[in-house]
Amino acid sequence: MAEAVRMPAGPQVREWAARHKFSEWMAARFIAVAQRSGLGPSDRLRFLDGLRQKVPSYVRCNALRTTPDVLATRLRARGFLVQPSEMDPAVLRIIQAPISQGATLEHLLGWSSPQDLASAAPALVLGAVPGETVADLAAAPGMKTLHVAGDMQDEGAVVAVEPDPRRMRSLRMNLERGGASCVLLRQHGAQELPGEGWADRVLVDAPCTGEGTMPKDKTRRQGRVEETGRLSRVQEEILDAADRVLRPGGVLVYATCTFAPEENEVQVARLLAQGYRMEPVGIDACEGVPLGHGITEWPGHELPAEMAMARRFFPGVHPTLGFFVARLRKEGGGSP
Amino acid sequence: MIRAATQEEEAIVRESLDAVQRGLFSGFLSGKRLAIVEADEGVEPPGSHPPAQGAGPETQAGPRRAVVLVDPAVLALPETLRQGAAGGLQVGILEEGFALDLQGSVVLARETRRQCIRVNEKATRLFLYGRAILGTSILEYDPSLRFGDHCIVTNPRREALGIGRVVGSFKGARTAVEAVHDLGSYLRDE
Repeated sequence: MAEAVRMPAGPQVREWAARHKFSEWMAARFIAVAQRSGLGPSDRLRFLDGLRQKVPSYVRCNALRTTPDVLATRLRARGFLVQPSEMDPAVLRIIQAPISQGATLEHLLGWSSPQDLASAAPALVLGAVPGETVADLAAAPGMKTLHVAGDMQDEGAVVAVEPDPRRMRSLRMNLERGGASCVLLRQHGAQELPGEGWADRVLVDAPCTGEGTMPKDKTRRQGRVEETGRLSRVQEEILDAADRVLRPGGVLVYATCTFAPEENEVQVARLLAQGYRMEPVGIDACEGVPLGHGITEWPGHELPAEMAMARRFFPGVHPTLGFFVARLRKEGGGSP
Repeated sequence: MIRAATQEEEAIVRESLDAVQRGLFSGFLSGKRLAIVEADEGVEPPGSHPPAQGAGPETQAGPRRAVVLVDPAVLALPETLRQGAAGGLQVGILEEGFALDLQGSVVLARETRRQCIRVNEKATRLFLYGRAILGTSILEYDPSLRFGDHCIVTNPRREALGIGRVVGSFKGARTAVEAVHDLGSYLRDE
């Protein structure tokens, strides 16, 4: 378990936090993370401001139902102005919308779902292919599960786990709407998943403090410092389960929508100490702007140099919510 | 528990679909396998996202079993993983007979025009709110449909919108089809 490290807040950060009603300790940590991720001074300020600003809206095309071109044509016919993103052409940026995307026939047909562009990164990085067995731990509401099923062309098996009954209901409805037939659903915590070494790939989009969602959720501006410690324990348990079900040589993608290194790089470092090795994420920029890299130095923790292979999204710098994503390979075995 | 359908269960589904159109069953499967999800501890029992009420032959009392299409790889997973699990794409319910579900109507509409009606854009919008369809809104229909039959409602592009029941003439400005289960439920049930 990793408790949140308190960072000193300079006068500029304190003034900014007071003016915009952020926790001072949180703002100081954000600046420290941004600096260590390679963001220059002006980008750090853009990042802080980005936490208070609306991020663009996106929808992701479901490959099991249609193609991005057909979806874009249909949405344009309804008066939407959409543009395929550079990072993932299946994700369309909504520039102008006459109605909510969720109210369109295309949404009900399962052709599309709202998804922030950064949220598409974990499944992209996972790179599942047809015929594989993939575990998606903490799967609800199912957008990444559907993305993985689409990459697999609905061939193979995706074992999706979700402990919360209400979130399981959303997961089921989204997968049904999306037309996925290759998904097995299990309603319990990841730790209760039976068996060992049966997954070729595992996706862990872990429950987290969600700091990266601040642009749309102001309540997170006054986060409680003890939440980091509590959630890092939950993340460790899920990663232990991920390690158990992943076969030797398999790929594990770990992602969160928070900035806290205790929930990101520190968790990944634990896996590296168990023999995993990091691999390039394969995404270095978002809409032409270089992503932040994983940080390699944080008080109280030893973080290896290869942690820089992980990638970070920063609101205000990138047109997205905040995200962290790392790709690792378990030692031994043949590659999937 | 998710398991492969037995020969008897598969035969029930096959007969039900072949009664609509001979040879429909293999197109309906499209390379997937038929599986059954039984109520079990773990995932919510089937039917919690309610299928069309009475959408198909009347059934006798018996345990409800969800009929799903699954990729063969899912059925090849160890039983320990399939025990207490749900999954696949639910296409209907089996209770002595086979009753088509919402996604079952989507799959079926891709394979046949039997039991389908095609409605105009206005009726499409209203149907997705659970409203009935007037005869004047129907562009095309399967002439074998009779009063009381269930039908698949499609939009002008023949995209399935859900399941209806014939309650009146397909000509004229009166109610012809009442809504039984439509895609709009994905928003209403959220």
